Amino acid sequence: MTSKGSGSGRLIALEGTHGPDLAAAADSLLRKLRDRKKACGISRWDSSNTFFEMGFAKSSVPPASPRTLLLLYASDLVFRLRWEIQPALEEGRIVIAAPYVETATAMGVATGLSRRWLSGVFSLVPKPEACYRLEEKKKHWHGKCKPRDGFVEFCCSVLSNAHPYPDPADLRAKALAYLESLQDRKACRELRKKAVAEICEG
Amino acid sequence: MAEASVFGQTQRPSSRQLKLLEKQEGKRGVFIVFEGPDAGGKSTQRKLFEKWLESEGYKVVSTKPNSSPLVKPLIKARKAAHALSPGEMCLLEAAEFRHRLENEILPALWKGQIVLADRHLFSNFARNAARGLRLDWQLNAYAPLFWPDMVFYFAISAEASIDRIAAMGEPGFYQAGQDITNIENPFASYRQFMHRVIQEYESLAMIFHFMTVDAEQSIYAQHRALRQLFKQGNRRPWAEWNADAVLEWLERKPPAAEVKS
Repeated sequence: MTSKGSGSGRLIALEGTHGPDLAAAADSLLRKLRDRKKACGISRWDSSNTFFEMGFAKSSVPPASPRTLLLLYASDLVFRLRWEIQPALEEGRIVIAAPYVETATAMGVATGLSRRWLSGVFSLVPKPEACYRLEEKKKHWHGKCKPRDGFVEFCCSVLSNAHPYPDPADLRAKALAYLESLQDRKACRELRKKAVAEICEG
Repeated sequence: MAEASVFGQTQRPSSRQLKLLEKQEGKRGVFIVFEGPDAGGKSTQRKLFEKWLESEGYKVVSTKPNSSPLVKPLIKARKAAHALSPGEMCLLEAAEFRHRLENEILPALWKGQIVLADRHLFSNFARNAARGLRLDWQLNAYAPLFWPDMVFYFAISAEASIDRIAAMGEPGFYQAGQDITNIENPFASYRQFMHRVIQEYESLAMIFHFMTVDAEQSIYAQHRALRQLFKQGNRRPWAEWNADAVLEWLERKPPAAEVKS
C-alpha cells in the first residue's frame, strides 16, 4: 500500500540518525513547500508522548530492551498515522514524516534485531510516496545523547545505561550503514537540492 | 530451533548456547499459564493453585498482563482516553509483554521458580484477532515467542461469561469491545465481542494444545483437575521451543555464574 492509496495527499518520509538535523531539515522543507502555497505539515517522532512519558518511570524500573523500544516506536507510528498522517493525506496535504519507518529499522538492525521481524512489525503502515535520508555528518556523534533529540538519541541513551551495549557512536555508525545500504538499493535518496526541488514541484 | 522458527531471529544458536540451555533444563522453573474468557475463574484458580504449590514446597511467582511498570502507565492512560486503535493496542501490549518477560518471567524461571501467569500471549491474540488483526502479524510482533510449559484453558460459554460479568458490574470499554462493535450498551457489546473472542480462543486451544478445564464445574473440582494436569504434564524443552527468547535475554542480562559455568 502506498500513501496515494490513502487519499489525494502525498507522504514523504525523511530519515536520519541525528534528531536535531532531521527536525531542521523537515522545517526547511516545510517552509519551501509553503512558499509554493502547498498545503503541508510535519509528523514528528513521539507525537503520542510514549517516550516522553517513559522518562517519568522510576529509576528502579529496568530499562527497555531494543525490541521493546522498537515495538513502542511502532505503536507511536500507528498513533501518528491515525491522528496526523492519514487525516492530512485525506485532505490532500503533503505530509513530511520525519522520521518514518527506516530510521527505526536502522536502529533495530544496529542493535541486532532481524530485518524480517522489523519489516513484519512495520507491515501495518503504508509505504511513503518517496523516502529521503539526510546527508549525515559523523562529527555529531561525539558527546552525550540527549534523549529528547530523537528516536536514535533516545535509544542510545537508554541502551548505553543497560548491559552490555556498544557506545552510541557504534550504534549510530551501524544505523547509518543501514541507511546507506538503502540508498545503494535505490530504496531512498539523499535529500539534496535537486530532490527538494522535485518534492516542491511534484 | 532458531533457524527453523517461522518467526523471530535469523541466527542459529551456537552449540555452546544450546549446551547452556540443555544444562539449565533440569534446574529451570516451570511456566504455567491460566487462559480463558473473562469471568471464567482463572484468578481464583491461580490463587488456589499457588497456595497448593507453596504447600508442596515450590517457590512460586505470579504475573499478569499490563503489570510492567514501564509500559502499564502508557496503556492505562490511552485506555482511559479511549484512544487506542487495535494495531496500537497490540504493539503496546507486545512491548509490555517483552518487558515483563525479560525482567520478571525469565529471571524467575532461570532461578528455578514456578511462574504462574494469569493470562499470557493467548488472551491478547484472541482479543486482537476478534478485533480483526491477523494472527500471523501478531505472532511476528510478539516474536521471539515464549511458550509456556502448560496452558490451562478455562472453557466457559459466552452466555455464562456474560452472566458472571453482569453480576460483577459494567465491563470496561475495551473489555466490552466497544472500540470495534460501536455498540453503546457495554453489556450488548460484550455479548457480541465475547462470542468472537471465544471462537478465537477455541482455535488457539487446538493449535497450541491447551489443557482444557471446564470452568462451569465447582471451584474445588476445577482445582483437583489442575493438580492432576500438573502432575501429568510434560515440559517443553527450552532448547527446542524457546531458544530464541531465552538467548536474547541472556545476551543482555547474563546471570554471571550460570553463563560462565
